Amino acid sequence: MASPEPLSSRSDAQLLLSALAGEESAFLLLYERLSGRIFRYAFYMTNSRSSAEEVTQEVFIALLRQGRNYRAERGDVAAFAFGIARNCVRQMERRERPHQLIAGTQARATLSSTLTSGSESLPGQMIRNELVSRVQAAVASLPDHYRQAVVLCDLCELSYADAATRLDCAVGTIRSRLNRAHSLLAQKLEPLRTPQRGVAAAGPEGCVI
Amino acid sequence: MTCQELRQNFEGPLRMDAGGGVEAEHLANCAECARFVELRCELVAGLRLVRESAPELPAALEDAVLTKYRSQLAGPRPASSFTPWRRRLAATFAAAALTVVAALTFHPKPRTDTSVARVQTAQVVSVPQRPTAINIPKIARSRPISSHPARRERVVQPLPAGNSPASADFRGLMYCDPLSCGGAMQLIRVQLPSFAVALAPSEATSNGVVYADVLVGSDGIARGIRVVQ
Repeated sequence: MASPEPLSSRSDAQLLLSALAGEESAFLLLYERLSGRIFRYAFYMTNSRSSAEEVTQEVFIALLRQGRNYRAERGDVAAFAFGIARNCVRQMERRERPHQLIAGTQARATLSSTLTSGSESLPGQMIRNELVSRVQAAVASLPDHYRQAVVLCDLCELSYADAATRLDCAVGTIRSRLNRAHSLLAQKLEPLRTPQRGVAAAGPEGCVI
Repeated sequence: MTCQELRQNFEGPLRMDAGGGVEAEHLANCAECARFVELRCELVAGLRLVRESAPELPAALEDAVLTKYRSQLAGPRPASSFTPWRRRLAATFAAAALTVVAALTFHPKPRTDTSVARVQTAQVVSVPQRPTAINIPKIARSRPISSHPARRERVVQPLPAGNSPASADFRGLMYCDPLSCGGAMQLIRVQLPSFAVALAPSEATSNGVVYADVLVGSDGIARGIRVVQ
């Protein structure tokens, strides 16, 4: 039975049902709506582009498999998909622990993009990349519940209410976790801006050898 | 404005601005809060850089997902690539089954003297129905005697036929009454030289031995004997 409603006006839940029924265009639209957020979330959580791709793919496959278990009264489809993504990331972290933050191919890709892009000066780009990798490392070193809050609210730019729905907790909990996470992050990033004591004094004349 | 009030203002969503009016006034006078705000602003800048540095969603991913979607719809469900708990469960079961099989196969069996056991089993069932000679009524009904007719037939069959006149009854080897010979007894078949039981050599087997059943009490002392061949 063809739905008289145009695809774009359908809700995510309706799109999911249509996709499960075999309507490819509905699946594509659902993918378009959700994939960017899921990919970014997975990227910020894993700090790896390939892992983020894998997670995104798995989320949509799982949506097709488990889509019939979805209950609208328990949250929207995006929250359902985020829940799957969270589980995927956790499984991946368990599988690939200790996780490398920006290493190997990822670092080479970053460097190569730095060298090939001409919009910014090379030193500026390198400083910027260095800063990004430090912040990523600081976020990754946070305890999981703080990291989830930072990734969802600060990096994925979800509202507190949405983040609370995703993490299945109260808005106040998100607020306090975020506040604590910001303090921890500020502590972790502070040494970057503080000049290292002793380094200035240790010139050639300060060298023992 | 107090330091606490200022910090509470920064507890919400991250802000880049240092505020105006009273906040700026406080920051101008409080180095600690100025440092706090500066750190927060740098954190905001760092997080914004991280946000901006996120890679774009690759277009090839859409094709891959779409291919999976089509295959999912077209055919039977492909094997899940992300259900490690199921694989783990199956592997656990397989490992447990292998362990059990290996234990059953390679575990050394306890050494038992099977010949004695068999002989004892066989002889227990050959207890006569009426051991009248020494008049021990409990012996005939003692526990080890098999009451199952099929088993009795099966086990009794290979035993030598008691066609000798001497095999009719037990001969008492000691004084026995219901008081001193109480409890269950065991019947053991033994081979004895024919002269030991005062039989003529013609009644014995070709090698001069006779088979005899010995009734042994629970204290290990023989109570009676009968010659079966």
